[in-house]
Amino acid sequence: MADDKPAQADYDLRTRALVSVLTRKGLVDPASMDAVVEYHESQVGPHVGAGLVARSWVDPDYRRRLLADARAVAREDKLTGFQSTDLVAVANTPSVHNLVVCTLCSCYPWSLLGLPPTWYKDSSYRARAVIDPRNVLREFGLDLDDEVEVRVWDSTAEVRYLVIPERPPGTDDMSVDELAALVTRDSMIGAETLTAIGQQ
Amino acid sequence: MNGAHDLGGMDGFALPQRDDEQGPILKEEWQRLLWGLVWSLRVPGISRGGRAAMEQSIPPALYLSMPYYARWLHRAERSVLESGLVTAEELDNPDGPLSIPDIPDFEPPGPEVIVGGFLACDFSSELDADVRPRFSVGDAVIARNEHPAGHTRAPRYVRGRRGTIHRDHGVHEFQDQLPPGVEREAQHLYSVMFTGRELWGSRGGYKDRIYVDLWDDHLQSVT
Repeated sequence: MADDKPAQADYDLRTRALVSVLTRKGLVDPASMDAVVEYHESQVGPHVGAGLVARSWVDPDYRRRLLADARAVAREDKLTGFQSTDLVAVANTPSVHNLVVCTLCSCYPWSLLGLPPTWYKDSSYRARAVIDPRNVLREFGLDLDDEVEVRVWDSTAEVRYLVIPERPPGTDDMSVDELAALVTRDSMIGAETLTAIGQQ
Repeated sequence: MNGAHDLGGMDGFALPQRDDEQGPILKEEWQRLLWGLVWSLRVPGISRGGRAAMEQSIPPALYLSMPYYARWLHRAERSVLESGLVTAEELDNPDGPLSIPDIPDFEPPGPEVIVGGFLACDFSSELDADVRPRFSVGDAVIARNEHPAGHTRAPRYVRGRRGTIHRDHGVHEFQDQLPPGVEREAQHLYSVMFTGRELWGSRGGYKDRIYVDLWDDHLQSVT
């Protein structure tokens, strides 16, 4: 959309008009606006979800609790946020691959993954993930075996879904922090798997 | 509402490009400004709810032509205009004369209040209500074939289709828009599993399973 210059210029003009009028009327504090953006760009992000995934790989009890009641775990770990805390975690296995979508809008677990990537909010992804998930994944670079069951989670309520990707092979000696560094945002949506160290 | 927002299963869009952006998600300066504004604006009289419903009332051709943050901009403009605290003339001429609203005891909340609110927030739609679920895990159900004129969380592609209760999420606030004067009982929310073949016929993958969150009122028993 960034190449759509006239539209971008229009959005820019309209946004600045809103901000200017609301600020001049004393209805909004510009310092708050800056702080909100700073918070979303630096404090919340995929590193939060990645920490949770990495721990689930090394701690079987944590993994069991996460899959049974992710919301309780998120609350214990103070990982709640202003988006829904009604969290459900779903785990990939050799025979099951999970993919998250929101066909009605673009609901996403902000408190664990930050703001959603552009492709997640795209009409094409929202339309196709439920009818043709295997080809969507193939276009994303993930060619699943026909026998793998694909589970697509459509976030139609306030429940938010987090995919626990499989632990990549060859990582037995790694610490939780090192493991967390391997976990990508897209793997926690189900758009990719972690097949080897550092490979996305 | 059978709006353009209800996209599941629609054909003809350009293929999604999975970019590998891991950095700032708000790419344009106006998106950063807008995002900051939307979450900092806490003024009595300016609606912050009903976002989904407001989006779905965008005419279909316009909705499909709007990128994600343009829809946020549309909502922000509509909510401030509907409050009466800002006029269209003021937005057309943002450096021109404007009226300063007199809202008793109002100060725009500062960064500590806004960001502190994020950190402390534990938003859940679950209700503390002792309500019996109408369905149990494993039950066969049919998503009711209803096409309400207002906002609904039952997407078109499941209506009339047969699924299985996969998980009971507990009692959650019902999100559908109800006709004036109608009230709904507190009710359970479920994750309902539909097979790809049930939803999409021969085009559905035989190992595809689609899970949709639906409330008791969206479902009926298979008799």
